[in-house]
Amino acid sequence: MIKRTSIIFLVLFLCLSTKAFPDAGISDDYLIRFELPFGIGSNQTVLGKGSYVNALFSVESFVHKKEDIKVDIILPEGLKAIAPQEVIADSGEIQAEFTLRTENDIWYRLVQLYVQPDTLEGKYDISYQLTFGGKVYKKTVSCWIASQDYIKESIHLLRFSVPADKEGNPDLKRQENTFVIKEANSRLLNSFNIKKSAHDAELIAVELENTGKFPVTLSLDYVIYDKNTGRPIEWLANLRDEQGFDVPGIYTQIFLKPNQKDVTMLRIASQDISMMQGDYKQKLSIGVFAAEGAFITEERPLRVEELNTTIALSAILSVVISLLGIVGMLVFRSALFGGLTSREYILIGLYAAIAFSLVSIPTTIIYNIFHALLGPFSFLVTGIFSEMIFYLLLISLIVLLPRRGVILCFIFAKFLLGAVILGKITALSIIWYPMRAVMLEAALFISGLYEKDFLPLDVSGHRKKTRIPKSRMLWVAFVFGITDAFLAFISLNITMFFYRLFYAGWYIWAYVLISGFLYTFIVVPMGIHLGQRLKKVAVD
Amino acid sequence: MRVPKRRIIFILLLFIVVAGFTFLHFYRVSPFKVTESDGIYVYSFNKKFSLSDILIFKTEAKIGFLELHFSNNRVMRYVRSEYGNNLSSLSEWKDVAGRTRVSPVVRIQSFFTGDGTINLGKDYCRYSGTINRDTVLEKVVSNVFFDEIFLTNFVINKQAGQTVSFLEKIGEFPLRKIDTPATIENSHVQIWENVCTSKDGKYFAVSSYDSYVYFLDSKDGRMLWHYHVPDGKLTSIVISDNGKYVFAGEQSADGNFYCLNADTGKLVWKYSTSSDLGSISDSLPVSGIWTGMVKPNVRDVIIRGDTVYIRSRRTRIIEVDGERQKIKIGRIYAFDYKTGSLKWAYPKDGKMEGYRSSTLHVSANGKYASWVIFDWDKEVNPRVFVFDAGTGNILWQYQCDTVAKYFKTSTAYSGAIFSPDAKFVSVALNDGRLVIFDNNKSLKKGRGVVHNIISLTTPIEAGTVPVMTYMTRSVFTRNNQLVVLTGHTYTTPFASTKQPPLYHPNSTSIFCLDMDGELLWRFTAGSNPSSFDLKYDQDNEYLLVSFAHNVRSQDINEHGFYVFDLTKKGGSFSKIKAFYHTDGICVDAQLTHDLNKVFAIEAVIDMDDTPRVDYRGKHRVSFFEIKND
Repeated sequence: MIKRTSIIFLVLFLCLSTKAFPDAGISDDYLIRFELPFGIGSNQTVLGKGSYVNALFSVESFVHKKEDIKVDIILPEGLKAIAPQEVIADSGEIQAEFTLRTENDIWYRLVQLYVQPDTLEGKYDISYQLTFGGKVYKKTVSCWIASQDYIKESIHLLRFSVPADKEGNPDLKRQENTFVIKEANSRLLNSFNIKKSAHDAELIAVELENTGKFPVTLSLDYVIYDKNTGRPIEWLANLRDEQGFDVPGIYTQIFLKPNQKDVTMLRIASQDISMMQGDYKQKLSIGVFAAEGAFITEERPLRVEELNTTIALSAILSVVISLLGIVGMLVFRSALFGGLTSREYILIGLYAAIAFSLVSIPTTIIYNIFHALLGPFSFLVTGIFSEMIFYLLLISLIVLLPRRGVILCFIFAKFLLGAVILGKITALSIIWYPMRAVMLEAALFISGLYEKDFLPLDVSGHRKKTRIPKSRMLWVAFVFGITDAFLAFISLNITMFFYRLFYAGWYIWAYVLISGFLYTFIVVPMGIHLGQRLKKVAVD
Repeated sequence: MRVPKRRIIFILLLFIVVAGFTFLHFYRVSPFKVTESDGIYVYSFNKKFSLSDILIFKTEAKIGFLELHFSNNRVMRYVRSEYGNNLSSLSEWKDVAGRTRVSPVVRIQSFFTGDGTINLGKDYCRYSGTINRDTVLEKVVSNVFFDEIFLTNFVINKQAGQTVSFLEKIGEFPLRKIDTPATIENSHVQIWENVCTSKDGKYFAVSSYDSYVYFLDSKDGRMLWHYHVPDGKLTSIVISDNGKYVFAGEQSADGNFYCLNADTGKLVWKYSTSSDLGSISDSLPVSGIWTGMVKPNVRDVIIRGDTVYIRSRRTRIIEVDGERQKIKIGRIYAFDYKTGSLKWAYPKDGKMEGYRSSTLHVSANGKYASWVIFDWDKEVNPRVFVFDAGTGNILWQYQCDTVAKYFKTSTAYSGAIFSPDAKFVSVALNDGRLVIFDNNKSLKKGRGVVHNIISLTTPIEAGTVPVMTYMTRSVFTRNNQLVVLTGHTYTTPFASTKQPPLYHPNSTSIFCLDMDGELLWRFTAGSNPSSFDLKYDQDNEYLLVSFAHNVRSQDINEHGFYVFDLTKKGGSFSKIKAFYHTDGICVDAQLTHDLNKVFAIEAVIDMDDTPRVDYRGKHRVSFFEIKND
């Protein structure tokens, strides 16, 4: 009750304390718009001395009535009109007469204006009036005038990133100035008939800054040229179906307030069917909007890539190895798993659970965080979990159970945990896990880690006095390092194939050498030590 | 004493439920500001609302009207009939291009007592459109001061008596999920779905994206049968005038045209156009959203008398000197609709290869058919063909030119339409000109005789960039007036900017012209027209225009359909009968022949043109009843 009463009092108070009234109905029969230059709406922008600009003048009717209308535009000193047809103009005044017939009927003209070079810098008002049926409506619009040099010096191209990521940052994972055709031109992909997304696109980011004291509207043109013929390439050729227009490139308009920085994203849809793999030229031009000429131009080479055969071969190889691994595991199951006791299975399961807790879960949680923080270098951190801890556990397990089939069981158990608990079951993971298991079993065989004479403890559990020679330890680390580097390379390639990604050469090398080889090489001796100590505890 | 855990949990749950209902009971949103001027009170809310939201009000005064103003510029007015005449039937607002726009106010006649309740959410869905996640109730306007007014979602009182509205949603039929919806930045409406009604209005049929033909009861949307096409997407549908057959065209490797029994849904006959036009095997593959272009696509199904006419078209991709080239292929057909036997086809033997082709049209009297071919790669301007619809013989033809300043060649995708009496033929060229032919004189002379050329959407030069719009569709009214719909503004076909340098002043509009080119009325809409339907009886003539997405403004509030009553005198504002807003894009809408119902297909739109998704709308057919004051 108190609440209701308070609401009523509040409502009464508000009623008495305000006099505002909503705008209701159409007040004017005609709507006048004057945009200088055209297309900027109600923004006020700077015009360069000595330049030509196009203004849009329009009158729209809101009555169903035939009416003869006259407009007069009075220009300030410094602006000179160059009249289009049906418009009478002298140096400072534009006049036009026309008839509007019904609601939404629009009369419009683009009027070219010349900003005289000797005009003083500052803000100017243009007044215009509409006369019909004995009534006169007057309005004004403002603009700024500054020297072209001042405008040019105010605008700075801070960054031109090709390609960019979705946030507008340079995509450091990828080769600079390179596009990848993921769609129609890739015959390789077409032959596999992989379903493609309509969203695939290359992104370009352009960062501009206005350090001047006037608001400015800029136009930005981006064109790709054939390196040999110099002809512009027609992107998005299919859109021509609708209109039959013939202007290539991407065009956009940017409004910058004084002391404002802004990143503009350009999007190149990759549904194009006219562009092939090869070397091209790209050109970015920036000028004052609706005025002639660009004052910032940047030309760079552009490489257009298709997904190459290495990627496809890697994918095929991984599928073949996985199939062989699965078939081999089924055929030689008794040789691989026959000797394992229930206790050993429990130990493997325990290790897989630990690996799941210390590798899979942290990697899943921190991947996005470190990807956001470190970008392409996130693997340096995530690799500590996915490579170092994983191999630490794996090698110590092998030292505890130096048997064939242990790695297969361990990886299979880890895969199942990931699939059931985290839902990580994809076509890629089905290919990836068997291949990884097969390759690591092969590495185990080459390294000789499960041979009896390699081990510091004999099978009866008696401690050997001799330590493992460092050379043998390094050999094992080297073999597993090389194997993991190979696996890292294949992993990137099959990701590129199935998800149609593209990585820069340096990224692939860094990932393979650091995350693949180095981390594993460092951690394998530690794994052997850990295994020995655990075995010692078990034996003691 | 130890209390069992189960009992504690039960008590806790009970407490939560009771607390929840108590909260709902007292959960109210009151206006944050109330203003008054000249006896009109404005209660500002600025509150998102849901389907279950109720507006509750209490006053001693006699309520004349109560308006709900929403953030998407829609206004719903509950009004006593004697009060309504003094109020504007349109609400005024400005769109993103700065243009002043008007929308019809949804009027609901009500008999308010001193206090009452409005089912805000439900009424919005019935009369105004879909509540999208951004829609806000901005204010309530009335002629009285309310002692109490608030929003709640807990029903306490009875609803005030509502009686009449212009358009009332009476049901819907959900359609299957679309794998790749249209995207807001893509100018193409990718969802080629159609709805049609039987002549008696009892049934309607849908050719859906999921490869099913659905045949449904108009009363309740109950599905009577469905027919599945094994491969491809359905692209056209028509029910025969006698209601016995349903014809559907598809885009598939076979490019089939189906005739189905309307009672049973069984196949009566089909024709494969791939045998004439070729198919995927003779073309290089294309992927993404363009995958289907190499397959024959059967469209423009028209029935006149005992003949059904169709057009089939496809694209062949070949590689010449390392460059891919598109070869366009097309053919038009006339079949006996009962037996499926081919009466004639054009070209008579083979196919029209190397030319893009327009929509096929057949005059209302069934005497003439028209088709236009063109190709800018070969620099061939539109060539208009008018055929004898009975034999397929060419009666006259005309070679159009183009406005050379802006175009190498023109296009005329919407084809050559006939006036109801077939006296005039009109062709809309994309260079902005409407070419109107005198059909009678053309027939006599054996070549096209131009009656008039009207410049309607001439490109304008915005600096160095030509800005254009184009005429997407046109239709003659029964009085030989020409209604023309215009589409988006284009800077260049390659522009991916959200901000065009200039909106073409004649874009996204509906024009009505007489044969001399005099503008009779015009309506500026905010989006791209996706389809239209014009039907009339002795007393009434309605124009229905559905709107899909506007790639420039990206304003989803513009999706939906307008109904215009063309018999009303005055300009477009007087003719607006209703507008219904759909959250997704409205891809097709049709009127029943008795002009009482509207069937509209809404499809999902992805607002985010990246791999992230931001889907709006539902994939469904909704049906509405048009009510009169």
